[in-house]
Amino acid sequence: MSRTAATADEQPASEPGQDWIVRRPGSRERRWFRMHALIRGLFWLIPFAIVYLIWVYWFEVGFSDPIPLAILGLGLLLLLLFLLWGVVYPRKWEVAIGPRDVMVKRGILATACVFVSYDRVQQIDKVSTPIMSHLDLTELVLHSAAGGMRIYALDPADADLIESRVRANQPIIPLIRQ
Amino acid sequence: MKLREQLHRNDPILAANGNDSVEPIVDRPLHWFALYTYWKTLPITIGIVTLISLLPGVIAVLIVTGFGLFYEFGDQLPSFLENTVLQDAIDYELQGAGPILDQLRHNRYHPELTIILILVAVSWIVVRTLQWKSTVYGVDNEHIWIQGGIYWKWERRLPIERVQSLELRASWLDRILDLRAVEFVSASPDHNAATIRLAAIPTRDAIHIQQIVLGATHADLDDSYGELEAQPDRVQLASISTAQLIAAGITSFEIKMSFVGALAAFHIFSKSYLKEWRNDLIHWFVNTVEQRHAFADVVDFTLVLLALFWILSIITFVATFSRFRLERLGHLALIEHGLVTRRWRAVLLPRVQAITFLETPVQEWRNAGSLRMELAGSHQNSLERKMLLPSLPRDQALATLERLFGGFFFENIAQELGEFRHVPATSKRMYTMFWVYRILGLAAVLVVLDWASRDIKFEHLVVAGIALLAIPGYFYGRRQFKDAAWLMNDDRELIVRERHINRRTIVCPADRLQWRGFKQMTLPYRKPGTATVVAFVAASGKVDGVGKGIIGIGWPIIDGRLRIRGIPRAEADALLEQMGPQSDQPHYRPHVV
Repeated sequence: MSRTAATADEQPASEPGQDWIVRRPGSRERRWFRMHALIRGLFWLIPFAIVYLIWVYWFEVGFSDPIPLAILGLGLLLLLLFLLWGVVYPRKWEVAIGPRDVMVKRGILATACVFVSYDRVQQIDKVSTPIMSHLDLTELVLHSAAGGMRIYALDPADADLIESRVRANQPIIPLIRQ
Repeated sequence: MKLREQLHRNDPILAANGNDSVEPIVDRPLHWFALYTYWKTLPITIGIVTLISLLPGVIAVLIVTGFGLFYEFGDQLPSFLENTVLQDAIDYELQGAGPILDQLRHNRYHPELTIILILVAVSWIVVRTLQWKSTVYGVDNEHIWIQGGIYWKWERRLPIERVQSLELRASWLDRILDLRAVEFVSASPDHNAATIRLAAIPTRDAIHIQQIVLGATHADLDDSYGELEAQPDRVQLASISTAQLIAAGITSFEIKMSFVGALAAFHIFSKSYLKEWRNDLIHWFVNTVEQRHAFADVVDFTLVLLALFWILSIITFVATFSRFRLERLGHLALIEHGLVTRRWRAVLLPRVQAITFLETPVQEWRNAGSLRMELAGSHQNSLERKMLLPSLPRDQALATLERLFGGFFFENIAQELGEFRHVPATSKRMYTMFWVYRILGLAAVLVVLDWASRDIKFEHLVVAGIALLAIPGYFYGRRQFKDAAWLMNDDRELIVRERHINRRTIVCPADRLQWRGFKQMTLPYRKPGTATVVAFVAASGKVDGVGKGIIGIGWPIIDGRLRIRGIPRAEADALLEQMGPQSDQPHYRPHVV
């Protein structure tokens, strides 16, 4: 994430304050969002393409027949929507690492903002796909006792920071009593 | 002794809360009747033992597989089956089962198949018996464990400090045999992995286990729960009448008929004249669906079916929570209910994450409601575990809640409910038009489809009917607006009221929230809309089954959700601030999951 200074003055309470580290997508992260969207779009295009081909061969119609073409068109539309998501979504994407919580803000038409306190995190998953490794990014999934939060395209240093803060806020539970 | 007396004679005394040390149970083998649970998973014919407790329809399936292979339709059956309902069942099944049974009938006797089936059945019984034999359990003041395995050894161990609740359960058969099933529940959202269930434990041993576990929980509780412990005497808090239960069950579709139940019901209707009724109904329905314009009949049929399930649902609800009693003993809520299967639950009160006060429309009219507790690891289908009070007049229910928690939580809750903050009038439109926009949108889509396509034609009356649903949608939204309210009290307990069909008020100490957030419409070139604040407690559970595969990180369900729609952003921010960790609090806040 590109490092952006937090603007402290006149911030609403749910906005990160001065002691928060705010991250908004830089060029690396935007590139990841675009590639991620492309891969997801292509993945969803496959079943449409298969149905298109099956239709053509099964019913012995031409490749330009309107029905199979419409099916393929739907798949391409889906791909286009994914690409659009990849371009627009990171514009409002924001991660803020605070002293007690981590916050993720996301959304296109509706903005959603989620806070998870470090002392409520039960488990952390660290994910790294080949594209992420190539771009030197990582993904964190924070699990609480009521669902979880996924933080895409995070700088490994930030991921380590979140992880260390979670660790610092956990209780020491003796597994077996002495 | 009368059957009724026989069934009631073994009701155990609910948990003793003494601090006397009780001898631990170490590696005790299972009772012989626990073989029932091992054998009933026999894959052939669904399990011989299960059939004893299932309904006659399933027995008919066994008869078909047993005799149907050897006797054609109309052939001579053994004399003990002739001219009986069972002959009808065999004839019916043989007529209806189609080509597979035809094939079997034409190759009527396969000794090798019979031998293979018998061998598989016998080896399964032997394996399951050995598994039963090798399984042992133990309970001490630190752990509950069960272990076993013939070649592959396994063990499940649950630390006492992670126990959320403990339940003794007895079906009518268990009660006759003086047995109990004992279930220890942890906070894991995966119910199957989270629970240790010991079937067929002699009642005396079950009470012994209960004493060990509940005695051991004293030491694990934080000192701050001393207030609860200060009142060690058993206090009866509530018992519920059948009329109150019916009022509570009137909108409860939460207890559903199982697939086996539906199958059994189908087969019950395969006897004598009931069979004709059933077949006539099925034929009528199939024919009706085939006739394109018989929409009204299909609607009628669906309504009758829904009404039937509704009545069955109410009956199930009443049977499940019949003879309900709630008592408190120190830090324990002792709950007892059930007509056929009787349950005795001991819930550790400090483990309760939130309390929901639920009012069905009938209860609202009668100024009553039910109380449910949200426990970590509970999920949408665990109503039996969540029920605290099925139905009581509103004042009594809230007073009971205050007495139950002995002032530790939810003090003055009845008074605070009157001090709610309401959603501002500017959000009324958001509430009232929510369903109107959606219903009119759907009607518009249907009209456009009808107009644009040569093949798709809708009945105009149906489209008009759908559009007219916008009127009740408007009034429903208005009611939702009127009911929406919240309050964060001085003890940092968040109280949120929201309406679906039932009115639901959830009360939760802010420190027990697992995560929180808000959502706000931010359309381009328009002023940002009002905010919706959402927070979840640990009792939210996760989506099971297919959903779990798709949404890997889990998706909280509404049971443990606190949601306030349509408040100004500034208020949402202030509320989120109050809900989160406070600067004067230590970095780790205990949340007793």
